[in-house]
Amino acid sequence: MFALSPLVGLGACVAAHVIVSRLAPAWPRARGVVVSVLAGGGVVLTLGLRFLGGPATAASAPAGYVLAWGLTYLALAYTYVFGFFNVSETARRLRLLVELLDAGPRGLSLDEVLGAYNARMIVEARLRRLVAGGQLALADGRYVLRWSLGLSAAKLLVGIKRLLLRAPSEFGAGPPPPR
Amino acid sequence: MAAAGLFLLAFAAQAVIWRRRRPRAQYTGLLGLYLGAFVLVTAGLVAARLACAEAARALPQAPLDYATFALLYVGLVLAFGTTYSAVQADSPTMSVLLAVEATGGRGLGLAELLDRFTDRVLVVPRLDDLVLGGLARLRDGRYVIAPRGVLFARTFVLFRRLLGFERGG
Repeated sequence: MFALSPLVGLGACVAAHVIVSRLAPAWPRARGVVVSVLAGGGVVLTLGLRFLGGPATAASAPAGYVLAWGLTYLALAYTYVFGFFNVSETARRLRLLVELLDAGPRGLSLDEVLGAYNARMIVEARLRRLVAGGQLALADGRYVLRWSLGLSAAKLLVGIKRLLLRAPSEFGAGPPPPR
Repeated sequence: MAAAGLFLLAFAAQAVIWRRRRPRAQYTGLLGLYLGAFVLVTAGLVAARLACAEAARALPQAPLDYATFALLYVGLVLAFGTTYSAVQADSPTMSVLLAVEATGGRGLGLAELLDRFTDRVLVVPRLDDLVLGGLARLRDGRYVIAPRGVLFARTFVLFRRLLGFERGG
């Protein structure tokens, strides 16, 4: 039962996120995410401490289990935040799908898609977020770097792209081979 | 340890395969590779234990060990799958940061960014992804959502309603 504590923690994290988003809509979204992840982490920690204090500690290296559950929770919480919440927040594919869903069975031509969602909207939304998050600053009409956490993540991703795709960008990698 | 080791082995295998021939259905390929590695190694662990091999003493023994191993491995694969979406498709946010950094402090204006990040770069490839992934169809020059796409989109619309948020993107 204790082995499922990462899943229980993930459930607590999602529930906390819904509650926080509903009760404090004015909070910055990043703060709501951090509070929710901490809430889920608290549940995992509590369950881990109960495991350590209970009869199950006859198992060898009980702290090793708790550490593994903590790591598992972090991996699941990362997946929830970046693979689910952040996708709903910023993913272009999902936004395009929602536009197509709204259009119904008639669908949309490329021009109609671009009327509803286009590169200008995408770039402006990112610039707003980057400036609000302190990563970019607007000086004399030009965007300049201020804080480098996002840039470090971008460079790490470029490294993984070079390793897996042999190119720093999807456009340098070429299309996958035809089936 | 076993879960992290298996994940690293599967990642190394992915690097070798992807550099030689990237699958067209990348997420299906990822799932097959990481799931296959998991099944193979778990079967090997069980076989080693049944054979009472000396080396098996260091491997998972009890059901709790296997459950912990499996959940940690699944968690690592899911986290990597999440990261992989930003590897497979360039993130606009990351691309903007890299473009601004490349100016060496001079920075970029909005017009320069829009010249660089056009609809052909940011929108059209993602529409192609939807068609390739079976989430939408291109019919008589019009993009129409497919049943899988409806399910996918409605799940996220419902999730955002639950959070009380407006449309994302």
